[in-house]
Amino acid sequence: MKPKYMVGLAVVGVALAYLIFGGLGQNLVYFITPSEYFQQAERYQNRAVRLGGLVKEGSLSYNPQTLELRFVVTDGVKEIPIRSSGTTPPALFGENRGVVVEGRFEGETFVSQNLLVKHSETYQAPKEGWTPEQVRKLIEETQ
Amino acid sequence: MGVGVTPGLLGGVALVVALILSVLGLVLATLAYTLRDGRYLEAAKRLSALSLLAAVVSFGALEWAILTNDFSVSYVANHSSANNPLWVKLVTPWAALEGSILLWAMLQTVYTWLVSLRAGHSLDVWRAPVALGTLFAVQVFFFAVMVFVAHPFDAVPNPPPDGRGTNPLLQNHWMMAVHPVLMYLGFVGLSVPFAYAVAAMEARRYQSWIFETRWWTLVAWGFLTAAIFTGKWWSYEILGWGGYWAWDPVENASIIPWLLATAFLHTAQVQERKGLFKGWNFAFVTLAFAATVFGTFLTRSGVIQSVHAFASGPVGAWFLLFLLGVMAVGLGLLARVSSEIREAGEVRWNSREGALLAGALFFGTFAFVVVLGTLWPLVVELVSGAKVSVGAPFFNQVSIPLGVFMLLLMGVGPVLPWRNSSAQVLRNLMAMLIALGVGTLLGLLLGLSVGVSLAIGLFAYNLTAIWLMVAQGVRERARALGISPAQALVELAGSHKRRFGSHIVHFGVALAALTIAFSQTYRVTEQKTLQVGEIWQTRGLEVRLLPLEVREEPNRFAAIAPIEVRSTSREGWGADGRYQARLNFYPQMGSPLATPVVKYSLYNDYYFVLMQFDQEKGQWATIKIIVTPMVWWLWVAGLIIVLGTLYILWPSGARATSRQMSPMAGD
Repeated sequence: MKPKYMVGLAVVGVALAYLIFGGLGQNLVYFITPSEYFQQAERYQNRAVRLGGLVKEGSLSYNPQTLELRFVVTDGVKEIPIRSSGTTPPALFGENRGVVVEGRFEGETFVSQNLLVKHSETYQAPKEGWTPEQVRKLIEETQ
Repeated sequence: MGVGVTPGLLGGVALVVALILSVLGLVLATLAYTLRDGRYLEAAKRLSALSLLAAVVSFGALEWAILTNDFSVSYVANHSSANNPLWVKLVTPWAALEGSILLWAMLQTVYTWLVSLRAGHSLDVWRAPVALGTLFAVQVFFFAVMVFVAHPFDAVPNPPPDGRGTNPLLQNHWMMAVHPVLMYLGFVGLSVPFAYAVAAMEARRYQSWIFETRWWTLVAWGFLTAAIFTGKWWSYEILGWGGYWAWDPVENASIIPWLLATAFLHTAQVQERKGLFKGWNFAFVTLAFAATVFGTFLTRSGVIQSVHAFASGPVGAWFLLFLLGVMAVGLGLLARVSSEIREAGEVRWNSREGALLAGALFFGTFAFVVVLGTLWPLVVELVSGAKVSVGAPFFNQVSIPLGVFMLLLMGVGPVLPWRNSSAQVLRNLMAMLIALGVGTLLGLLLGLSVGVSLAIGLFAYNLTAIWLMVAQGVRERARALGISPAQALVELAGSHKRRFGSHIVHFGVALAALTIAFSQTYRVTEQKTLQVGEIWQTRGLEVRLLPLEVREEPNRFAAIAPIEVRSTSREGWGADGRYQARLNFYPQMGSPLATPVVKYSLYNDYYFVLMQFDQEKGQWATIKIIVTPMVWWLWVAGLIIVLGTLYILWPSGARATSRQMSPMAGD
């Protein structure tokens, strides 16, 4: 192959590699549970996170005027308050059900931008006294 | 009758028979190849028809079980319900894992049978046993998976009075009847090019396979394209977020084989004409088929988190082994023959073949990037233990520059002549570049964003390229034969179907790119809680909420927010009407499913979602409106691409085959 082609290919290759690996690093979305958040709270500030857990019983409230939906996600040990303003149909939430919300932490509150739609055909409710690991497994399986 | 034939019994027996027939077919094909005896080949051909029959019986038995609510069959008990409407029952076979593998296997037997009809004719007796053997091996895999790990007809000892029902998301839209079948037709169709490639490499006949393989690939590609567009439409109409593509692993699984098959369709033309790129062609075909298995492995094994959850189970490991097998056979053979297929000449980048190769490399790179992004979470988890996913922004960032380059190449490639460029070509290129500049400037002057303006420029550029090529041919022919340009156009379109078909497909792709740029850039979302009777003015629309309704349907009940919409300015043009945004509640699902209503118009799409409603008194409802430009044209673009593919494939009599063999084919 001629040298000028080699140079051209190298330029294209480097540009692509920069595009790909730079992009990958910036666009990773961590999937965590409330307990994992509190182990490394600093690490997850100001970046996209998927938070999985159960909607705590009695915590769900919707304000039709401000379109703000608030609820608490728990994994049985730790809890995190969630604020979601009008991005996902509040009707899709149910208490005591597994959810995965995508968004960012703003201080101690998690601001949700998106509820991941579950295409799951079977759903199993978590039981009393489950460990966070069991809850996590359940959430992952239902996802 | 004491012992009657039950659907479960019939289906189970037919599966075992199909497996045995496939194993026998593989054995006979191997004998035909090693002993060079045509009688074994004839027997193998007959077995392919019989295995098709067995698969159809098995599939029919599953339909029978579902239609007669036979809950002693595990698949029916787990995935169907007596209350389902008829159409849902008819499509239930592919609503879950076991049934979809059965559909896949049945389609595989259809393709194997079609290939067996070519054996001894266009598929010569050296390659035919290998090609048929490869396809029988694929069949063995699918039937074995069903017989040993994912049996659709497992018996339920104590049949329940009713089944658990079909996944609500799948029965919420009639697209369920169309999209999955198209997808499987495309996926399975790619097994044929793979079988042809294996046969060509094994029989050391490196040129003759390409003509028919290109045809088979185009068939599969057409189905895949239709499947991807219908999938976009489905997700747009049903998921309620107003988008049509989210770079979800399942979507990626469908786009990867599509990209690789596209790459092959381009380099195959060079081999047809000039005998170049044999190695690339073998590699692309192998990888395209491997990608279909890879996609199935990803989505069925649970290794990658996806919003399309398919029950994870032991089939994942089987698919992984099969994937490794496909790659080992295809790439192993390629390594063995690589010294024999070394290229004779050098490729100039400023020729047609150079542009085709560059395009194929872009498609290959794109496929690689999608694979990387899809698998990256696994890498991160292995290295750091953290659970991550790669967000859609990554894929968008990478696909925009790659897409722009592809659109540029798409215009240039067909304009460039084979071998070397000339003065006429330079004039054409100049005209195209002017169109690119004018289009982009026009967009900027209209106040559109840079990206959208560039998309307009690229659309104008591609349109110019197609126009120049068609006009030049028509002019020359009209002058030479002394006929009218219209007549010359009709004649040329009839005699150069590949060329014209590819123009149609390229036009569709350019239009799709334009609509994607518009719809991704100018989507707006508004939402508000309305009291019954209240009027909401927004985005040129006047939206009035009418009294809420609750409706009982056999398989679900629905909360309905009827709304009346009037357009008050040009911004809301075409939105007038009465719509019913609903939340569907399915008994097998704890939370409801939002079902948006979409009103298409020539420019804007209006998308109404019921977000929440007053469950006590029915006095208010929260409505979300998403206005997206040009989505309707994306579906039109998909239709144009599929029609262009059909135009190329449409048989034009015996002359077409002989012409394809000549070096000036289809130009």
